[in-house]
Amino acid sequence: MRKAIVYFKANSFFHKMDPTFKMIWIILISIFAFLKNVEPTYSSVINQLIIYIIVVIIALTLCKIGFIRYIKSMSLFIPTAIFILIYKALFYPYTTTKPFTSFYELSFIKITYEGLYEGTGVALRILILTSLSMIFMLTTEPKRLVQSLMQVAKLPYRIGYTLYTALRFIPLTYEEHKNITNAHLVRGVGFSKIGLFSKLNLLKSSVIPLLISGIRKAQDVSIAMDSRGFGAYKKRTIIDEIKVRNQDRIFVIITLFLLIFYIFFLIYYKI
Amino acid sequence: MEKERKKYYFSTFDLILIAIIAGIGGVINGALMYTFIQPFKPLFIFLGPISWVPLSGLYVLWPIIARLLIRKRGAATLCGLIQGFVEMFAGSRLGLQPIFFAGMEGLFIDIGFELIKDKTKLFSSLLGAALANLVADEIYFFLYKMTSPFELSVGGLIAILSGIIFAGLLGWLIAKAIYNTGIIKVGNP
Repeated sequence: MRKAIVYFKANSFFHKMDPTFKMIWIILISIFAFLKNVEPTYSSVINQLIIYIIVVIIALTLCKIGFIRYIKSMSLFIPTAIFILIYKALFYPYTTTKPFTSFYELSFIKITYEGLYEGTGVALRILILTSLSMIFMLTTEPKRLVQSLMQVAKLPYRIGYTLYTALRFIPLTYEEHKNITNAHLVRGVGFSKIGLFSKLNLLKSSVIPLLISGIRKAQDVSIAMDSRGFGAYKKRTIIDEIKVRNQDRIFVIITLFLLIFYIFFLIYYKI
Repeated sequence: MEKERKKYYFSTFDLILIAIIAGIGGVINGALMYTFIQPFKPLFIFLGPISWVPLSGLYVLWPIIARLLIRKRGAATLCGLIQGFVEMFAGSRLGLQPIFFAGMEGLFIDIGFELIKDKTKLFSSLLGAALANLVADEIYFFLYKMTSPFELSVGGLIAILSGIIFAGLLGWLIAKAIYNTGIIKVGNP
């Protein structure tokens, strides 16, 4: 697993926040980013930039992520955002029939103001969405998320348990995959061939044993669970009870009010 | 106990199998697929920001396998949703989004399987995979504003082909290989 984007322990507001409420909050902030379409205008860039700055401030203060960790976790997305910005800036005139203003021209390359604005807007939107995802992943413990989904979001416990089992199997899957790859290497089947189809064949030959071992495990686990009466009752008892704090509710309600206010603002000023 | 268990649509074995397939899929999609796909991106550089689309079908592989092995409606959707969660925690670069995308892919795979009912399940797999990959990729295009006619049309066409080859056909072959080992004994896919 990439260490930069996995849960870390800390004593922050977001670490203590209920995962279900955190998800609702992230959806609300995403709506903020998507409410106004990215247009090739200066105001559109400013709009996305303000939302991005707010998200970064929240990540650094309320989540205690830290600047270095934030940059590390975003290191994969920043090149993507830059690539889209360059692409939009260079090829905007070829992707639209709308009029445009040239910033720089050289042969078929036409850098336009509109392309730069749209590219920056889209790049910022990518950074907003990925920053929100990072906030969630870095501050949410998988076990607590499943418990919250079962207790707060009322997810049926059989489904919740399935989710929990899948998460529990992550390290085992890693281990199994490593063993299979090593077994392949010992037999001379490795990563020496770099063609697409040879890589796909390699994927197929590691996926089948992985799935077969998974099916064997599923048979054993399901027999053990059935013999212990899993699913015999519609409700089950809980050891770790999840209690939603009032701060979480208030935080989400305030964000909701801000969103409603923002929608009215956009409608009233016809922005 | 037996009487009680029958009221559930998915048996305990189905659920655990979904969890394991989603777990494997989530780990491979979230942590390994990105590095697997990167070396091939320069081959499709002429596609610009949609150079990832030709191999995007690989992301749809797992719910197809789940649907072929479990053979129940909704298996792909449930597998997709759980895979999305695992993908997120396995270090996916898209964070929360895999839950939505993988769930959507699973749903369209189930729809594809309901549209064609062939005995071998090959055509259902191909249709489900093509539909799922097309819908997921087009949503992705709109989300990241890759909405020029070129991106939408050419990207859509490549998404269908990628879904058919890397998810539908590959998924079907993998499921067939698993049935051939005799570990699951419910006919052939």
